[in-house]
Amino acid sequence: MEENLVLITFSFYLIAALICLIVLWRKQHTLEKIGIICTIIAFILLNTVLICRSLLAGRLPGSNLYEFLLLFAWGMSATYLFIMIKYKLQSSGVFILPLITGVLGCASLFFSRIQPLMPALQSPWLKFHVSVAMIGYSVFAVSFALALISFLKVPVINSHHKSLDDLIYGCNALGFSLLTLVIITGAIWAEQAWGTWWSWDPKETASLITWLVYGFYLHMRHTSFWSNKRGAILTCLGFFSVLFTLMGITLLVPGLHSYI
Amino acid sequence: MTDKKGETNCSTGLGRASFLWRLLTSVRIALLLFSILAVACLPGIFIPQGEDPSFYYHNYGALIGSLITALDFDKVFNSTWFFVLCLLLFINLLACTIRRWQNYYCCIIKKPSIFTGLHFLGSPFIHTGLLLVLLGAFIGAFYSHGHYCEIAVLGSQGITIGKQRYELQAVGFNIEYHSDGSPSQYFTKLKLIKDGNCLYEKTISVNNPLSYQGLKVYQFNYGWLMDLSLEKDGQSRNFQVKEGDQLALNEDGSEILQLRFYPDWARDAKGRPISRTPQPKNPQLVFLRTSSGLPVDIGMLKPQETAELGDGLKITFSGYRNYTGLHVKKDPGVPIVFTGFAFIGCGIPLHYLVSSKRRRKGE
Repeated sequence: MEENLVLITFSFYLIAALICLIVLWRKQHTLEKIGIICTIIAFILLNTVLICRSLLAGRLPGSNLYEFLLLFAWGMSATYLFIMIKYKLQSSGVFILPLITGVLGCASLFFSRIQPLMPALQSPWLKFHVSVAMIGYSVFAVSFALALISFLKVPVINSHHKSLDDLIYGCNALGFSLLTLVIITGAIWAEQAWGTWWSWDPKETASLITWLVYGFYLHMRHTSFWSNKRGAILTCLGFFSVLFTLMGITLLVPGLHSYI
Repeated sequence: MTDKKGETNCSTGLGRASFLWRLLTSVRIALLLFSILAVACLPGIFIPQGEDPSFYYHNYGALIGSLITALDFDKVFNSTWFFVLCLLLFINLLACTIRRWQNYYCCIIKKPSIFTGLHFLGSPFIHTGLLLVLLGAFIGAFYSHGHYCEIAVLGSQGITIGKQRYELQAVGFNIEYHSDGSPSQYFTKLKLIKDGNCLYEKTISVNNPLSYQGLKVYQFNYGWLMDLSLEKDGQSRNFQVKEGDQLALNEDGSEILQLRFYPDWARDAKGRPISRTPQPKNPQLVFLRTSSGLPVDIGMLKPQETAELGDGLKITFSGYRNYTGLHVKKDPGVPIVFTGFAFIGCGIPLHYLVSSKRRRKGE
């Protein structure tokens, strides 16, 4: 049942992504509205999947890769809808919707039934650590989409007349703060569970690299090295680092975080 | 870790600063250190750390293997060059933090208001926090003491942490299970003893360590211990063996007794022994006696059973019990690191929330 619901959600996101691409090529208001409706339906379905799973498990989903990918897709959708409503940045969907579709596709590959939490995961820090990571990664995904837009010079409608570069900076600054909180909460939790707040586990090290990349971006903005193009390249690099931390480490490198 | 604005603020005061000071507080140096550190961490992810040099020669070839060991890529985070990089970052961060507090002081003098005061506190707080985290990490790297021990339930073990000698006594152990049979949590009732006096008593579990004056005892794992008795030529010897361990039967080690404990013994579809659950519902000990690598005897024992092997050797499975795996640690850097986290945790909302409030108020 849940697998089917994820597949239906995936299909709606796929349709929305395709419509977004068509609209970019040939502007059609009716088609644009259909795309928005598909996105909203997909978001409602994704909410249903997550609420059902939370109710059945009796906890927030986020204890394995499948659950975190669902949360990540939800976070990206919520952030996309927020910036679409607030800044009327519909063209950002050209990149963010295929990304959400890809993440949901990956989630369906790693489908796992609800399993009880292992002792190390039974901590109040789990909710906070995972939620902040989900929001932070989602904000980085949106900044990545905006960076691609600026990079590829996709035409943008922006009701707030805020420059795309300022929006990317805002997203990266917020994401960086959230990533810092993710690392801090993870360190406090690790100190309670494993007796060491930092153990140079591959996931921790990859998170530190991501933090350094975005730290580089934020500091470079105030120097003469800065250009919007370099900022966009760094944003893309930072998001690849996020994806590697989330998926690459889990699948390729064994470590303390291998369950997620 | 400074910015262009920071460099221009209080320019009259900083104009007299030395070249070294400018270099130390330079954002370009910070950017350089950020990029070098990010690249330096990569071998620590992709190359397995802390293995024997032969591992790298075998897996990466002679040339790359020797390069890995020569450049300390097999122990990146314990290498001197990585420590020097972190030290440089610390010095840069220290200089930038001092400068940020100077800038904060200048801003307060120029425009004393509650919003200015709070907003401009954000960045100095974040940088001070990062500085404390690095300081705590350095202190921990040099002055922390750790020890792993396995204590049989109702047993005790002496441990030395720094110059202090303690005794840990496991007075109780309990495992709780999920409905699918997997362990949900395990608890050890623990006594911390020094010079015969019980200093502290607590039931610890995963995520809930014992903490006494900076000393922490963590629940790490658990397992099974088996009590065995071997009898040969009228002489009896008692052993306590950990699950999966093996026992040498003679002095040159050519004759070995391999032991495996199944708390809930059963056979799978292919007839291989398995444990259905981790709970001791049907405990069985399977033993294999080998001589020069060749199997000689194989058998299975229930608790209190005895088996007679060749050469007049008798093996008795007297009983089994849990052991609790504990990680004992004393790290004087942790309180400093956590203070740093608190600074960062306060600095982030100050930096973002107050600035947005100011924007709304049109300041």
